[in-house]
Amino acid sequence: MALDTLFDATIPGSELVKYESSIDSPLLIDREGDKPWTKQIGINSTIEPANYLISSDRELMIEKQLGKIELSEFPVDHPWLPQRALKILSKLEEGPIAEKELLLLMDLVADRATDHFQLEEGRFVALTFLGRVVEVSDTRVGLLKKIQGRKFSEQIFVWRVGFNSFSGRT
Amino acid sequence: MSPPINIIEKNYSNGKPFTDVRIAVINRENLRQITIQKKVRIDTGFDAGVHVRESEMLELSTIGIRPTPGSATLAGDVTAKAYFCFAYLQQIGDFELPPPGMEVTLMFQGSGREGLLGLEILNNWIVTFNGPEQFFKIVHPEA
Repeated sequence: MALDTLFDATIPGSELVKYESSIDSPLLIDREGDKPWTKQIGINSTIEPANYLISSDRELMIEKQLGKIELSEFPVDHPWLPQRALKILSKLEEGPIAEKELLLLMDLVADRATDHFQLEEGRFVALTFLGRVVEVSDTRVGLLKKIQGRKFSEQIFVWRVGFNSFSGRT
Repeated sequence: MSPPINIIEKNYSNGKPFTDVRIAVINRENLRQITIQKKVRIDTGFDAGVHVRESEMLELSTIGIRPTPGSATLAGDVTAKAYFCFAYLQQIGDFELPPPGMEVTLMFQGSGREGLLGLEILNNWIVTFNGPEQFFKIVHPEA
């Protein structure tokens, strides 16, 4: 039997929004539009409904709740990477690696990030080598413009979602 | 409605459509900039803006810009490491574009002396290749 809960979430300056969650079907439901949220909350997560923060455009602000919903095996802000990628990453920490390995690493990381963050095919993304998404854009130029001159704590690379490379022969 | 603007009309060189371009890379943090002048081949098979050899990106460090690594698909479906940055196309042939220029992707890859001018730029214009007469023409469509 499903256990349903109803709760309110507000942030200063935004309207009151009601949400419903169910243990059987752990989806957040928009009561006004009856549209299920696309992000599911895991059954075993320990987040408390009252602590969800909903922005005015109704996106979940997960960052502020990292400590509560993060499981050590599956960090929320970057995807779990396959063993091959981790091996190349540890080599990369020691020094330069072969071009083939770097390309393979980018491919593996981009693939996993695409699945994890459900990135839309055709979009241009800047990622860290741990799979965190730094920036996303609809155009190649738009992405490069956004990241140019910015300092990042980790090395980043650019990728086109669903493609073998960022650019090249059509 | 303004009439079409002739951007460039040029004969092929060595049987290929080449032209000169001037590209500027600007560091918006410190407003320092560097310009690259290059002879490039018109290449409708290249989907980014301008392609130059990898060694040319060393100059960018003088203005504090580090191009971002990524990958590029080359002829024969070979994937290679490449570096990318945001730049402005300021001049093509004798035609100066209105400041600050056209926003383009500048790709650094390989060691070939020949640069490429790709679809990201060409898609803004009407490009005609006249094979028998060995010339090409680029026109800005009427606005």
